[in-house]
Amino acid sequence: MTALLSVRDLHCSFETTRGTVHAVRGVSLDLAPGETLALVGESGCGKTTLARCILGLQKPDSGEIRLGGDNLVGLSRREARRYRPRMQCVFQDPFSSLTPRRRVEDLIREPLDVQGIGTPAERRRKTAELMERVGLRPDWGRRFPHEFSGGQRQRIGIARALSLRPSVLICDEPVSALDVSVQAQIINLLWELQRDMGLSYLFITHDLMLVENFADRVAMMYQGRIVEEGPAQEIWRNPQHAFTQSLIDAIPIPDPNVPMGSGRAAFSA
Amino acid sequence: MAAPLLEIDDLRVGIRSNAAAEILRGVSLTIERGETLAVVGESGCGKSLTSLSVMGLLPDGLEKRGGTIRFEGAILPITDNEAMRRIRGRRIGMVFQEPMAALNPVFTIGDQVAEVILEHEAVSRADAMARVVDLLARVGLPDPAQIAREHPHRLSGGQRQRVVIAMALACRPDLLIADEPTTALDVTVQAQIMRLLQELQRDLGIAILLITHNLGLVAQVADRVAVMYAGRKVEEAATAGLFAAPQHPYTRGLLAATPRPGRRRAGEPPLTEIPGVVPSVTELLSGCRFRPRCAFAGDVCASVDPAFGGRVACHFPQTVELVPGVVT
Repeated sequence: MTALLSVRDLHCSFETTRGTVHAVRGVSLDLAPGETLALVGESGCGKTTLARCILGLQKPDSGEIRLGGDNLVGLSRREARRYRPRMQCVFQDPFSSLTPRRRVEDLIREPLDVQGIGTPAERRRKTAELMERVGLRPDWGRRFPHEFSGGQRQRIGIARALSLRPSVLICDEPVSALDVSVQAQIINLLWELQRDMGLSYLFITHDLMLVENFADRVAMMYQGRIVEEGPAQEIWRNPQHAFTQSLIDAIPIPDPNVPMGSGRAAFSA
Repeated sequence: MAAPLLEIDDLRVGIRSNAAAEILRGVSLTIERGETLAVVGESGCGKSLTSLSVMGLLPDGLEKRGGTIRFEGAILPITDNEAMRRIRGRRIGMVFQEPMAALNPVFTIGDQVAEVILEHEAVSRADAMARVVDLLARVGLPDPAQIAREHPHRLSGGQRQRVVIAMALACRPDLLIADEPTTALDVTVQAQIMRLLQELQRDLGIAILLITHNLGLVAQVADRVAVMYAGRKVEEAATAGLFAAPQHPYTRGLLAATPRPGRRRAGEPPLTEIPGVVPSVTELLSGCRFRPRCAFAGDVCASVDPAFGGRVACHFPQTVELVPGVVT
């Protein structure tokens, strides 16, 4: 397998008032073209710090982050900018990631403007195409973010992330703040986009049940390390690490025949 | 027959500045002693507003337009703040999503739990403090005497929620209103907190009104479930019956949209969507409010808002039983 994104022995620590916190302790991951890899863990496990390192928002202590073979660790800001279009991100709260006073079409077009891609007319046409692609009516482009529901705002965030035709999307809890019916709409949209455009997703979440329904592979992160990795359904059916086992057991299954604390029994119910 | 512990009858709440905008459109619910009723639905369906109404904590700008709430048969004076203060905390305990919002960062845990007891009962401060330590032990906090001397920021999220539960139980209420009590917690901590609530319910005989969007929690802890949509109860049933054979198309849609292990089919979208979004309060819509999102809607649904008939408020309730575990 040729990995598109490859992380090798990554370490990242911070100095805090209570001493040094080793948030990421030697993580290695591979993301193949067209694949969804879920990174699953509870709060404080280091998954968001890992994502910030991959996106170049946090400087790691050591290790490698390779995108299409090139190591991104240690690049200057100017050098790193060249790689930005190929790797984009979608965050949990689309509202806080969208400038409230700009119109939606400007927000979606902004990455194209910044990178200076095409003529202004081409950029406007591209923006309308993107809106349609993610299920937004192009004539809503003159509206502001606050006029949209949470699910629609996440569609705006996805359209913006897709504008530079990235090959990798880093999705950090993109549906955690959404209701279950809207969550299903957004997950299905991401699935369709992947099928049609061959995108790769690094999908960061605390929700292992969602991942079982959506991801190809899962990496379980605990106290800064990847403690278990495998195909999504295999992880649920046959968890090896004690952390994975306790997490699955704690997940409440929407079936009254599966008693509390026995999530692993869900397959046999 | 004794009156139910809590009886909400045709509760209507609207926006004061907009006579046409009704957020709760005739909600009726009852809770018997010692049982758990779950109220489920997506944001904006009115489930939290229903619980706030019971506590007499309607947000500014909203007004009660009709209906009654009875507690042990007597009408709850929900618009009389003084009267409600004597009931809140003593007869009805409350646990919310964010424990930090319920705790004051500048006082110790012991002072805050003791204050609830001193507010409602004529006991000495020393006696109240002794009860606090017992309560903190009862909700499973290690070294309760030490915890009583700590400030909230020293505790983890799960420990803080245990403190809030101790406060809610301090005066041995008959009803506990738990509004998304575990939504902000990790799933392993969530399981611990839900287990604690079940244990306390069994030992103390309290009834629980559980407000949640998490159908997994509902399946595991509720005796009965009320499903709300756009300010109305659209279905109510015993938990097993609701999951095995949901009748309202919205209930079926919610269950189908919920991820569950073992349902994935190669080449098909991972989840089952409910198309569209919940209508806004100010959107004028005749007939059934779920109609624009419903696959079963007929002509009558556009003109007549269906009445609640025992189990469901729908012109075309679905009766095909779902195979357990295979919701389609």
